[in-house]
Amino acid sequence: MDAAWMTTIVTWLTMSIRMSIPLLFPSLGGLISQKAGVYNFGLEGMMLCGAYFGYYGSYVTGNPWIGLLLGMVSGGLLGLLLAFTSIHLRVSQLVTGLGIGVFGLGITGYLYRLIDIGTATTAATLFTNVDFGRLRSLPVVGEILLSHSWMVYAGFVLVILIAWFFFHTTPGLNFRAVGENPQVADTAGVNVILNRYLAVVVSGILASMGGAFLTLTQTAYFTENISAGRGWIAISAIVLGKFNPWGVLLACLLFGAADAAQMQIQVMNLGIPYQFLLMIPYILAMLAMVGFVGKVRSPAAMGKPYFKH
Amino acid sequence: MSELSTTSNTPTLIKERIILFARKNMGLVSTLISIMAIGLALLIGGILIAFAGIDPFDAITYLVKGSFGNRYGFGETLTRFVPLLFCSLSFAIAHKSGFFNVGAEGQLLMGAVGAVLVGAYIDGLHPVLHVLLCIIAGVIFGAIWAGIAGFLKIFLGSDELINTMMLNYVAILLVDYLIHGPIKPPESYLYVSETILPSAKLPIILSKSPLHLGFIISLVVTAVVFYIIYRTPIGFQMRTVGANRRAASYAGINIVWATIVALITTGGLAGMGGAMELMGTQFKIVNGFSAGYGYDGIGVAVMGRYHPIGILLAALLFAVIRVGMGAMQRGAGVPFPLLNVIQGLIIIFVIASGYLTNRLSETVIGGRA
Repeated sequence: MDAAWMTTIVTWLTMSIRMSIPLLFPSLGGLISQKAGVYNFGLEGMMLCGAYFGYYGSYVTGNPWIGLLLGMVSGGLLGLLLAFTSIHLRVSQLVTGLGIGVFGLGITGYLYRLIDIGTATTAATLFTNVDFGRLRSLPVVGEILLSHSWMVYAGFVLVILIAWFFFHTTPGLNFRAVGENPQVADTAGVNVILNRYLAVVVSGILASMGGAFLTLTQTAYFTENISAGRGWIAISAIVLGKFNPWGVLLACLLFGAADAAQMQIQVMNLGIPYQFLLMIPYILAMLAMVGFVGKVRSPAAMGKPYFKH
Repeated sequence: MSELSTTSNTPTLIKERIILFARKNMGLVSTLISIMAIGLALLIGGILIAFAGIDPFDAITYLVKGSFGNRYGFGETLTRFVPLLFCSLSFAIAHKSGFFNVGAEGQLLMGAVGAVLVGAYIDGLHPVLHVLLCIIAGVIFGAIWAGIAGFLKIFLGSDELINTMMLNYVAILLVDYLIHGPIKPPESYLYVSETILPSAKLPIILSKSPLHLGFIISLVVTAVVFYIIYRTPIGFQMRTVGANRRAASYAGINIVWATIVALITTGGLAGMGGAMELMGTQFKIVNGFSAGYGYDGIGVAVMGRYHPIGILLAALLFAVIRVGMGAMQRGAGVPFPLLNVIQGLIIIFVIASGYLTNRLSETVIGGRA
């Protein structure tokens, strides 16, 4: 294998990890929400808000942390809205989620166009990559694993934390019980309403972090509809990952690899129209839903509002 | 309801009287609640306009003048109404049949592709025949696009929500590819499709305005669709499957067949909307041909509470907002995405207000539906 191919493969693997992160955050968010029994179909709108407010905060203050915080607040607020309508008002979680999507697209586009483009540079300050010192110069591994910003590693740590929380702690068990059988959980003294609220708000925050990842580590600019359907692909990743944090991680890595591959092929200029390459992640998300990996069991009370008797 | 009737001989409290009145006039009450929800959404829109440093009342003047202040604007509003109505019918029919079709955007685009293929490449037909064939092509293309998600649902048990959404993105990319090559006029430097032939264009029905025959067709189609849904056996079967799959199965209804009919209808309607938009307004496909009609259609259906009259009024309101928003952008410099802000808020508020009507009618509806 010659050096050019080697470089291509290393770049592809590096990009695969990087492109899996904007899916991993919203997928984990959606997973938490669904585990507690609430569908979050507003992931796309929350991602867009995270991307815009993350960008805006960093652009104005020059500090990406303030941007990230602003983005997380916006996602959390949208999560609170979804929690209120689906838990307290018990109206359609799907339609509210779609409404949040349309609203997110509108509000980010509206506010972005209000920024005076004419003045100076509109680039946001990016998060820098983590400095691993001399380890970074390791061949292949250094490039693939150690060339990312802290958010990439935070995403992986989050998978471990969520898996540990779900399967090895009492609050995690209670949490899952809320999504499986809220009546029984309630009888056992678990606060169903509180758990569901927390789940949906956290899921909004995580989704907005996925959006902020795009503007604060990748592009430095906001563009309208920057998330390009990732909030929906994330839902597919949850199903493909069989509602398990580790499975979701694998699914996101797969989608990330597909995304990175189509980018690489575009650069190679093989004569395939770029539109067909861009379709790959969406078609993959559809194939994932077909369930060629076997039947998936979702939390039993998912999408059902809870009535206290 | 029963506990209220038992208390009728004791002096009724004012609160109970109000509840009783509301229950007897659910249509009126839900309309009032919807209007309040829309008012709230518009109020927030106004605050956002003020936030941008623009006088909201100045902006509203542009909205009103632009959408129905003159003959041209009025015609334009009724023209925007057409694809909105088709997309909302598409979502409403799917909803009634227990099927979440959020893919009207893609189905509308594919319908336009079907209509452009027949409208631009088949020559020498009588205008009536040509228009008819274009519409049929639009319906078929839209139905096929919805059919992909339907096939995956019926035979492989795959969730139609994600699939119809993904198909929107695929359709946008596919159309982008088509206008970059296969259906681009060879001499054009722009990325557009061929323009349809004059014989495939819909005639203007209001002079000095863009209003075309598609407006009348859309009203007729609405009547036919709701007749089928409420007055025919297949419509009854579709609604039963939508209301309760298991009960429909016990009642001996062929669920697969009812779902297939629902799919053809829902995709076909969105596709027909695309054909109308093409043949009446744009005549060729450009980048951004649909501009979110598919998603607006969801808002229209929700706001109209899936009821024919409600949908007609909601589609009209959304058309007014859409045309008015364009005038506001040109006149007062209000960024156009405010349209999505207001529509998103209308969807959220109207659906959230369902809580009140549910409480009043003591029905328990919720969950994903």
